[in-house]
Amino acid sequence: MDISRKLSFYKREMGRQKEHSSLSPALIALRDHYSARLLFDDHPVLLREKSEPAADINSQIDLKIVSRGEFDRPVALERCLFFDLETSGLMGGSGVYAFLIGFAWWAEGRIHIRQYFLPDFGREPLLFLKLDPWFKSFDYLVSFNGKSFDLPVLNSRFLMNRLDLHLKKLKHIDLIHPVRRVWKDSLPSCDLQSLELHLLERRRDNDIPGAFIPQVYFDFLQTGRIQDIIRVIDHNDTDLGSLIFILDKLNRIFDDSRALALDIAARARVARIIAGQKPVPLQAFKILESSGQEPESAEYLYWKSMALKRAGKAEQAHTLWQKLQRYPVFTFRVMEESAKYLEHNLRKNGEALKIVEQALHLMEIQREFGYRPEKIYADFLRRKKRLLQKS
Amino acid sequence: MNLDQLIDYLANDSGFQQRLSKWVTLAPRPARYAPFPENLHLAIVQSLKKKGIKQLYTHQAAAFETVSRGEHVVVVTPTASGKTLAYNLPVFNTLMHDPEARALYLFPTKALSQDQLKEIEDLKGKLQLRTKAYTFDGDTPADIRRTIRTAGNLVVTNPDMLHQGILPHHTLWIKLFENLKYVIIDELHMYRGVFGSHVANLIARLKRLCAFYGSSPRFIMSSATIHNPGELAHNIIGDKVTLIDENGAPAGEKHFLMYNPPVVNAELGLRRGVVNEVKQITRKIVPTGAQIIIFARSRMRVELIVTYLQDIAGELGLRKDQIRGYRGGFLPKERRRIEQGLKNGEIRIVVSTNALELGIDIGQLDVAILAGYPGSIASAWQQSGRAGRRRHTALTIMVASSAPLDQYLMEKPEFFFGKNPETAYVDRENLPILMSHLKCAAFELPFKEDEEFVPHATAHLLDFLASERVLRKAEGQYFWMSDIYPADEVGLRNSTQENVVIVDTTRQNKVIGEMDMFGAQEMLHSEAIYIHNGVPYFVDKLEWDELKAYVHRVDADHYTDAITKVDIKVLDVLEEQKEPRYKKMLTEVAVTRAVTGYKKIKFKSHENIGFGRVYLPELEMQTTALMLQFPREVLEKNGLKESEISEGLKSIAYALRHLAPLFIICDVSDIAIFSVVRDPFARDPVIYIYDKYQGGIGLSKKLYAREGLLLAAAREHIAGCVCTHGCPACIGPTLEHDENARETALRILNAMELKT
Repeated sequence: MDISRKLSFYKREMGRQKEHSSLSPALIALRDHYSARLLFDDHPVLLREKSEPAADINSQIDLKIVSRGEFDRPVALERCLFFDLETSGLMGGSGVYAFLIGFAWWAEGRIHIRQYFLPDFGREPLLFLKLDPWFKSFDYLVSFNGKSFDLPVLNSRFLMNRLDLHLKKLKHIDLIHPVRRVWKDSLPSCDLQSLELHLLERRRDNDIPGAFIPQVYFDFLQTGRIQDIIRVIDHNDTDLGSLIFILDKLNRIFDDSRALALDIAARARVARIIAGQKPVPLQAFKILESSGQEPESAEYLYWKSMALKRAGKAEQAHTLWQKLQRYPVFTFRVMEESAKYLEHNLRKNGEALKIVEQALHLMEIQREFGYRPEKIYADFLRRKKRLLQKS
Repeated sequence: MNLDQLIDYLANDSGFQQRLSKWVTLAPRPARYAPFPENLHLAIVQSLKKKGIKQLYTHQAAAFETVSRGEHVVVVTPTASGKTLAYNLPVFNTLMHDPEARALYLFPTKALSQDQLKEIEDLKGKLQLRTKAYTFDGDTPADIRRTIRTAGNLVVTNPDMLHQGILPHHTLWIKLFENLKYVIIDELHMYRGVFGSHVANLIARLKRLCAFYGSSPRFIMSSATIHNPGELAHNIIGDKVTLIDENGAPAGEKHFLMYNPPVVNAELGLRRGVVNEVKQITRKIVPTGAQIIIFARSRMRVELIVTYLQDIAGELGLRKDQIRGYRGGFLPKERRRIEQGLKNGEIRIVVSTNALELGIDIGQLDVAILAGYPGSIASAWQQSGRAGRRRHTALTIMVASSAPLDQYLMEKPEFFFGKNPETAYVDRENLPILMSHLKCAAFELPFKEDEEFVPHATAHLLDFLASERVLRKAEGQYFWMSDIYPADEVGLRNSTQENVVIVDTTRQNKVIGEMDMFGAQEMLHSEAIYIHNGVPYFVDKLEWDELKAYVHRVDADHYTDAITKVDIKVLDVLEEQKEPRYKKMLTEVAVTRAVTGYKKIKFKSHENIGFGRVYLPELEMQTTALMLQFPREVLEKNGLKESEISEGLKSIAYALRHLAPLFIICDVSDIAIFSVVRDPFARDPVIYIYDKYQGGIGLSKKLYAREGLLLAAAREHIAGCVCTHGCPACIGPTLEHDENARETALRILNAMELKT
């Protein structure tokens, strides 16, 4: 037998030895680091549990406005299961393995976190079966970007193990959509880290970038070194905690008893969301304004005016339109609204005509500077013609 | 003038007649019918009858009955013989009983699947079924994808999409996999060589997932006429297949003309060029108002013919835009426009590579002109089938080039019209291809320890991947352990996945096309004249690292032809055998290729008007090669000097390369040949014939068993050529070798004492 064949036998022996010891020193070290538990004797999975007080959180969640009606009834926070995965790949597909499955929930003034770390492949079946009955104590699943990533991965894992779990039946609240709706213009990016930094004022130390996580797991499998896996578990832990606080931030937007987390750009976006609701929840503006210290932006006022108009309060809207004429972005839009209001609601054709002529005059001046608002210009011309015929 | 009149006219044109080496008229064939099978659903029978289909063709009925018995089937059908119904009947019959049933349709190209969906919709309408059929390809919008996954009964797609979009996401397609009853594979003969080897592996992946979901679909395949459709089908799906090759569809009269351009220089054996000859023939035909399709062998050839024809557009009474090229490297939108133009008759002449050989619906054309033998008999018949599809009479003119293969067929037309000897070959075990798919398969579903993906070797390969840390063995299974998406790492169509993008700097850096890396080195090197749809472009720079070629439009009077440098290193000898006077070896080799320069060739006169240098990195490939070793002492004993041997080997190599496709089925471009007088490995004069694909594709292996026949054919062909000192039809262009080369080649071959 030549040496290379001997070597391959030798290697095979080594491999076999490694496989026998499912309870590796690395796993024990990890358990001790977190004072965690090991579940299942033959195919161990690490369970890390913790809980911390968080009394300052609303136990009722009302997402009616920010979800644009998708969740139109208040939700009891206790019925929400927050989840976040760390996986062996970031591109999706059935070869992606969720090696860390983290859950969080809130009960009686405390945040509870449970993280299941799978120290090798093929550890899912027992864990999934154990978790399934527990899922029944929740009605909602809350994630950040879980609709397009985490949940499909988890569903795929269930299927690969031929399991049909209750988790799939829970309603899913993916925070990324309402968060973007509100803070898109306020933050450079709407990922979890910037939200934490700007909304929760939390800064992460020694955080591991998400892109490195798959390789960390592979290195752990190969070497058993736990330093970086600890960083991943901590990263997941932070993510889970942030989820709850971000949901709380969203929830507090219309909670007049506390200070708001909205800057001027976010307030304008919220105004826009409100204007799009049916029926228009006008009282929401009162709440927004009750805590605002700075004057509202033109954009805010514009969306408020549109909300007022839709709610049948054209007279109040008209006051805003007159004010907004000074803001170039809105000048012609609000002049058009005013003209419509004067013509159709008040039947003051003369006044309407005056506004139309004023707008046309302004546009002609602008045209000399090369600005060509062709469509709206034509609209105004048409309006002028009609008004002239009427009078 | 209609087609029949044109045929009469040609028959009476004595000048034209002189150049024909064969005019074959294939008699019309009457239809053969079979009654509707008993277990065919009554509703289907009734609606077929209502649409005027009173009985089935024999092959349609046979296919239905075979599938009903639970067998896999391959139906051999020429174009327009009702194959759509042949594979749709079983599918729709099942759907009548089981509305949840699913079927997967695979067509080799995206364009074809778009086309076939129309046919399926039509049949669906006739049967008034509420079945949902969709195409699923790269253009399918995300919101529709969800519907297709859950509700699509018939999913029409292509192998590439199955490979990258469906199998790796199989958990989203659970409905499809659980209820998959049929897999339809159309144009099976396309799946040979590299593509075929990929598809055979892909089907193995598909079957593996079906087994996981508890389904076991029947495969219904259709193929053009080749020698071994049954064997090919068996190799592709890895299971027993029933062959149905009795075709019941009627066929109209078919005229197939073999046209050999006149010899213009008897001494050099030079014939008039195909391009010019095609131009003349086209000139003759255009006034009849016929719509013409011209097939050319290469993209370059397509562009040349388009340029030449557009030059005489005025004389032909056509606008330039009525003459169009069609080939790979065009963007999909442009292709759709051309297909549309053909269908509505706006485009009168289309010049195409084999891209239009497949069943893309371009309506009925009148005449097919094959500018040169397309390289395989199956291909020639498919191209010919483009003319007169739905008419009674069809006309095809095959214009021979000076290439050895063309001339061989002109000498022996019976070889062409006899039973097709062409064998399609796939190699499930090409290592690079197999490895790619093994990785994809492991990504899709962990491998069990004792699972078999390919016979015998699966466990070894999995262990290897585990030792490379691509897989991890745990709990008796092999798990995917990488954060890459393996299906993205491999394309099914060529050995290199990456493409070079062609950027036109004269039009705001518009991307006008793309090309694979090997092709790009030869056609898009800096300073090349690249011709795209008849328009010449000058390549300012080929940015190899960025895979971008920047071009601008020019008015060029010449084109460029790349000079490629090749080097071969033998890595391993797999088999060897001594013949009386020479030795053959089957070897594993490393081939390095690099484009080092280019020639400038003047349009029309084809003069060589200059050279240039090119600096590009070598591309390396590991492949298998047949090595023919001609012992120096035998040659010297026959009075051959070293300089003569070099010339002679080059000449023989040329003939061998061009005649090889007669014995193994491949394109001339699938193999490459290389000769060297002092081979560092054999220390003798040597000719290598190697597979031009990473890992080899089994061609040289097949040739290893038939090298005697090939050498004998080469000797016969060189000896029988009409030229005096060697010509492109036998040993290559005269300019490239000295004047005794032909004789030297024959002396070497004679010295080998070949059996005949």
